[in-house]
This record gives sequence, structure tokens and C-alpha cells, in this order.
Amino acid sequence: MIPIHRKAILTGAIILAAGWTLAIGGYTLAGNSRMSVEKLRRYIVSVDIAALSADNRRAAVDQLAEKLNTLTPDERHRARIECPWTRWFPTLNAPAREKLIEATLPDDIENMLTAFDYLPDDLQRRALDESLRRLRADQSLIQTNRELAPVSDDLKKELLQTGLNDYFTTATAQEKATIAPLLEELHQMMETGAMFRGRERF
Amino acid sequence: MFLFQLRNELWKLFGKKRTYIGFLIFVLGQTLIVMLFRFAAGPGRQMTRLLELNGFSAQEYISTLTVATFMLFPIAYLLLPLFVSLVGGDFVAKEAEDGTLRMILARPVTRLRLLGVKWAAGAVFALFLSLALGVTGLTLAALGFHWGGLFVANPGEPFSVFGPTAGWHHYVAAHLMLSFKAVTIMSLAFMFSCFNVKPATATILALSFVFVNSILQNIPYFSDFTPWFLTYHLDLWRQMFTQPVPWWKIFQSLSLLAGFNLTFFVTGATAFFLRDIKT
Repeated sequence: MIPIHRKAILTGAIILAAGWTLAIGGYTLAGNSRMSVEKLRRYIVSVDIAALSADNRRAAVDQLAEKLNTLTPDERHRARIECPWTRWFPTLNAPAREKLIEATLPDDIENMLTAFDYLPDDLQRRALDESLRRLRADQSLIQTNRELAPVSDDLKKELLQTGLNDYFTTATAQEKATIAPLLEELHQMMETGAMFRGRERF
Repeated sequence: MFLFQLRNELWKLFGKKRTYIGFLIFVLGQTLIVMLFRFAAGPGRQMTRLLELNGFSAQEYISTLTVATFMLFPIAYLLLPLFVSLVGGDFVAKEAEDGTLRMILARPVTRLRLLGVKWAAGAVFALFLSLALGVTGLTLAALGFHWGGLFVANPGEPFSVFGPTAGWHHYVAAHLMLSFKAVTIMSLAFMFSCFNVKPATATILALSFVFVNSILQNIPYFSDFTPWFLTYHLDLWRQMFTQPVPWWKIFQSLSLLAGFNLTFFVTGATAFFLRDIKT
């Protein structure tokens, strides 16, 4: 016969053990549902885009955008710099490529492009330099996509002369793909307020 | 029978004047913030600059939702834990202090049932308080600002921007998630209240526990341990203002908060069961 006090403590301990087993199970399950760059890469490799019909390609692009948008900000940043979806490019026609690039750009990129064009020339130049510096640093740390040409100094000059918004609106799919990682860097700098706070550092 | 007892417990809870302190202080604090933001030039100018440098129209985003949301952050961090732990710490300890506990237990009700009813009443209060915070914030902000998009400068996260409809959905969802924080802190205070302590002691112990967690979480060198702190999971409501909402992180926090709530209740109930109330 277990004394009543000990029974109460034992019951409490059993309930807690069962409760925490469930809680940790839920925690692990939720953690496993998290999207990662590796899962995104696996998805891209698993889809044979050339073999799909037009409707299915569209669905695959939508699914890719959906997966990308569920990444954490850090992982999303990494994925956009790496652009693993460019391996689908050779089999896609120009409008489909454009759609893919647009689907994988940040949602509020238009706001960013407009805001950037309103910045003083000097700040624009320094912001571009800083973004390029960060982009190169990021690319040296991660598995860089070899299919993407780096942003050259000539291209940087052209971006400043034409205006980011105008350049992006008239660019070809390949040109958009080239500057997309740079836009992502710029976007992150503006989104986190780094440009606003660290003006004197540029 | 449980619902009948819960109704009586709620009747008792909302019959006390101190239950309304939280609601009153929220309204006073929010009124002060809205008036300062509306009539002092500096704060509005700072926000306009921040918005315009990021390419957003100040006209559209300095709105009811934006103002109600930036008021929410400090209040949810500091005042909400205070008022829920004040009520949670009262539930059992106050009855013991007033000497009404013996009389209640003389009736045909088990100790577990008594605690269950009291905890449920506390959870209802915490839910009400969280939702009231949202309603009063929105109402007061609406008096001084137009309806528009939502701009959130979430501490430690990138800015988030939503249209009016999406912003409203995120605002409501954040308050529903905030109620989990309120319920958990109430449970913590409730647990301390089940021990042989004064109501104020239970409240202070609960607040100290939360603040110590928060201090540890905010030490930069401890950033690797962040997910181990209760306060990290209590802040799940903030995730509702990020783009996109990291649901996996929210479900992780909800799972652990369920575990914490169970722990607080079971520990409190065991201590209460072991207590000698008759002599």
C-alpha cells in the first residue's frame, strides 16, 4: 500500500513525464516541418522540369516560390544568393524564366527599387558598393551558383546611370537573374535598416 | 457542474476591483502613447523618415494598425506579465490568507476540482486581458489615426509591411497568440500561489522567474541557449508580425508552452494536495 502523499507525488511525476513526452514530440515534429535550403535544393533536383507540361511547370514554379517563402530570413537570404533554381533555366523559355525570377524575388522588391531611385546619387553609389562587398563576402562563404555571372563594375555603372527600377523593368531574364542576388543584398540592407543606421559607414 | 462552478469563480473574480487594474492601466498607458505620438512632432517625424528611407509611404503606413502595434510591444513585455501574475498569485494564496479556503473545502468538492476551476477562471481572465489590450489599443489609435497598412519594426527582426486587411489578420492572430503568453504566466503565478505563501509573494516569485529568464535570454553571449528560455517561447506572438509567419516555430513554442502549463499546474496541485489546511 503506497502512502497517500507518495501516491500524489508519483501520479504528478507520471502525468508530467507523459505530458513532456507529448510536448517534446510536438516540438520535434514542428521542427522537422521546417523548410531549409537543402530541402529546397532536393526539390529542385527532384523535378524534371523539361518533362513537364506547361501547366505542371507553372505549378512547379509556384510550389518553388511557396517553399522559398517559408524559409527563415537567413535561409531565404542564402537561397536567393545561391539561386539553385537557375538549373531549371536551360529548359525554360524566356517568359517562364522571367516568371521564375519574379516568383523568387522578395515580395516588396518594387517598393525597394522605387525607394532606391529616390536616394541621393552619392548614397546610391555607396549602397551599391556595400551590397556588392557583402554579396562577395556571402558568396565566398556559401556554395556559389557557378551559372550566375558576377556583377561587374560596368554593370554597376549602368545600374547607377539607368536607375535600378528602369534597368530592372527593361532587363532580360538573364540580366535579371544576374542582378537578383545583388537586389537581395540591397533589399536586406534596406529592410533591416542597416542603410539607415550605418550611413556614415558607407 | 464544472461550468457552473467556473461561472461562480468568474463571478467572484470579476467582482473584485483589483481585477480591473490591468484593464485600466492599459487604457491609461495607451492613451498617453497615442497622445504623445499624435501631438508631439518628434516621434511622427522619426517614423516618417524610417518609412520613407525604406520606400514606404508614411501617409499609408502611419495608421491605426501601426500605432496600435507599436504600443503593444512594451505593454506586452512589461505590463501584461504584471497583471496576469497579480491575478494568478491571488487565486489560492488569497483564499488561504482570508481564511475562506477551509470553508470551501468543507463542501463536497475535491482539491483537484477546486484548482481546476480556479485555473480555468484564470485562463479566461488572461484571454480577456490579452484581447482587451488589442481592442483598447485599436480603439484609441483609431481616434487619432486613419485606417491603413501595418508597418512593424519588430525588435531583432527585419521590418514587416502588410496591407490593411492582411495587417488586421496579423494583428488579431498576434493577440490570440499573446493570450498563450498571458495564460502561461498566470499558471506560473498560480503554481506559486498553491504553496504556503502570501499572494504578493506568489506574484513576485512569478515575475522574478519571468524577468530572470528574460535577462538570461538577452545576454548576447548566451544566444546559443535562447530556445531553452521560457521567455523565448512566450514571445511567440511576435512571430505573427514576421513575413512569412514561421508556423513551425510557433508550433514548437506552443508545444513547449503546453508542457510548461502542465508542469505549473501539476506542481501546484501536488503541493496543494500535500498541504495541511485543516490544522
